[in-house]
Amino acid sequence: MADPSDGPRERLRRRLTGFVDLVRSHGVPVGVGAEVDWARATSAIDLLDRDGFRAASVATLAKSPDDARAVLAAFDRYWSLPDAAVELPWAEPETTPLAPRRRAPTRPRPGPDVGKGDPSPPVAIPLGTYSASAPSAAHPLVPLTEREVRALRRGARRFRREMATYPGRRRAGSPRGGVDLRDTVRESVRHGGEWIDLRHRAPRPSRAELVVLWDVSGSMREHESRLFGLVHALESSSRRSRVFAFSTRVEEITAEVRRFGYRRAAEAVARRIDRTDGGTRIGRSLHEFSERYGRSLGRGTTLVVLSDGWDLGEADLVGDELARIARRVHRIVWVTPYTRRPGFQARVGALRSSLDQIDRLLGPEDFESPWPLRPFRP
Amino acid sequence: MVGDGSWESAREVEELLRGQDYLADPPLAMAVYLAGRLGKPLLIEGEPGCGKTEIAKALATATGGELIRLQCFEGLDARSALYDWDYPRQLLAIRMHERTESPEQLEQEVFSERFLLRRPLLRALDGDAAHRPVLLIDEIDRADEEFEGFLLEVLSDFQVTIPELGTIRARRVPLVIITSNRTRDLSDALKRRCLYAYVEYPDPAKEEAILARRVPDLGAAFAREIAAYVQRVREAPDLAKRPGVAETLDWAAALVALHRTGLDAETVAATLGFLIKDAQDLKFLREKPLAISSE
Repeated sequence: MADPSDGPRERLRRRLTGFVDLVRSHGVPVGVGAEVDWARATSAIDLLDRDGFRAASVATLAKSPDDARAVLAAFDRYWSLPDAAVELPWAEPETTPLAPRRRAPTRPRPGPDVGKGDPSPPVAIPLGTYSASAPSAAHPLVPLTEREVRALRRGARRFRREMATYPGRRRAGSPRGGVDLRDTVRESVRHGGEWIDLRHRAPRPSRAELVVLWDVSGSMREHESRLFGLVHALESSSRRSRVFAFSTRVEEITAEVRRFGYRRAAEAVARRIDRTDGGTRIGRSLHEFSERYGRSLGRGTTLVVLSDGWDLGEADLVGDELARIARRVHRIVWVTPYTRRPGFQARVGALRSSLDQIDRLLGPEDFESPWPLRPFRP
Repeated sequence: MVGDGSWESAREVEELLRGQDYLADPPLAMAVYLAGRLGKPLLIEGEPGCGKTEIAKALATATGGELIRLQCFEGLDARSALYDWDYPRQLLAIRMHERTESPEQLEQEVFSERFLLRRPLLRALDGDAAHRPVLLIDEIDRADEEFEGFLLEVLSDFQVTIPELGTIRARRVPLVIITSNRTRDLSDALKRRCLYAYVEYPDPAKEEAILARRVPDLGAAFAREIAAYVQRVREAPDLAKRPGVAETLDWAAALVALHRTGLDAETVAATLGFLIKDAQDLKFLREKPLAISSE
């Protein structure tokens, strides 16, 4: 008697499952629900219609344009032979050719894994220079103490409350505000239709999305440990936040900063950021940021730029690009490590040309201090 | 063909939409077909003005179902999306019956279906069972994340719970089209419940075909010229807002209204505002005009 586990239907089933596994291995998070949808779709289409099968795979397995590209690439590779779906014996598909994409994981809360007494060795973060041909150099990132990290987290939360909220359109029960007829009527029914209490609702402040642009060029190296602590604290302070690192180009490092705990995040960022030693082109980086991520900015976004303002490019370009961004976002805050230095004035090219667009100029000390954020004085 | 989403093939959907002057790419037609067959919502993302909303309108017209549109905005809540109570009538009823009925009877009376205001989501679930409605949840990325969470029950089980009335299940699962301009990432929970399609800018040949169908007075040569020019505008660097198909159609209609039969520098400069909706882009293109002809 023939083994049913080796029949054409079983081979086809395994072949189909193998495709989903391949898609997953390319970084597309295909859940069981999507897999079931895909399997149902295969029964609703003509499997011999390759283009239709391809389109159905994208419609059911992908959830973003990046996913769609990965599914298409996997499809072309996996179903490369016309009769593969029905005739080929199942085999482990190749998983190497496509570069896995990085996705932001479900947000874990940062753990208190800092300064717990373990003598943590410095984390090597390659930072570096402008020249694209220069070799990458690793520089130690000295972990902050638990006290320092806590102070920064408190500061970041204070910053979020003061700077990263805006009047929302959603309303909530409040002793002030307009009369809420719905609640008033509901309450009056309990008293036989008598309006004993008027209920009120007022607009609820909305939390802004925090977008952090972190300058990791050579001139910022002496401050990088402290600023990474601030970046991590800012990211942790808001449910909606994104982090980008830039020197001569922009990279999103949100997923790495979100790793569980400060130290693991630092290690992940060290692995992620791959640049050379030297200067920065803030204007060009802002331009690239606008082009690639500008559409995700909105009136609920507070943009935080962490940079000393030393720019190898055209200083005016920084002002122009910030003006372009400023039209879209709620606030722009610039954090420079030099605000507390005696005689500091915002005269560095990029900073000077950006002053009109900046809502607040701060230093890392403002986050470490228990006092309210100081007002901006150019 | 059954005009209610029980289509036999993606090609049938494509033809159905073509009949409404909507030219869908085969992948998009496949996504719509599967949404109808599997009874799943379809999330369509893409550039603004590329036909995401139009496809819902075309589907509703083609199938004869009611188009129920929920335009999302920041602060949108269940009152605007699902249901609300008719307070003035409730108050009147309370005054009329307060002396004759007990508080319990009064409460039952004023929180009955008679005083219920059906908003789009409830209308889509509670509507006519004979024709499958098309529920368009437009620009979901403008709504708050809390509203996305609220949508989950509706989109996964096609039911809603009204505390005073109980759970209402869909008489017939509507065809749900959700659009997003990707101004923010949607939650994984919402995306998991949807099929997915991404609409890109059309290539010049397709845009020319769209122009020929939607603005038939243009003429083939003029439509080709416009499509080619718009393509060059989209390829121009540093534009904050690239024109979508909607802008192209507006511009073409304006040119027809001006009795133009071809593009020239003066006409383009005078009417560019139909195509470009950003002041800096407009200034940029007026200072550095693009070539009118591609040759």
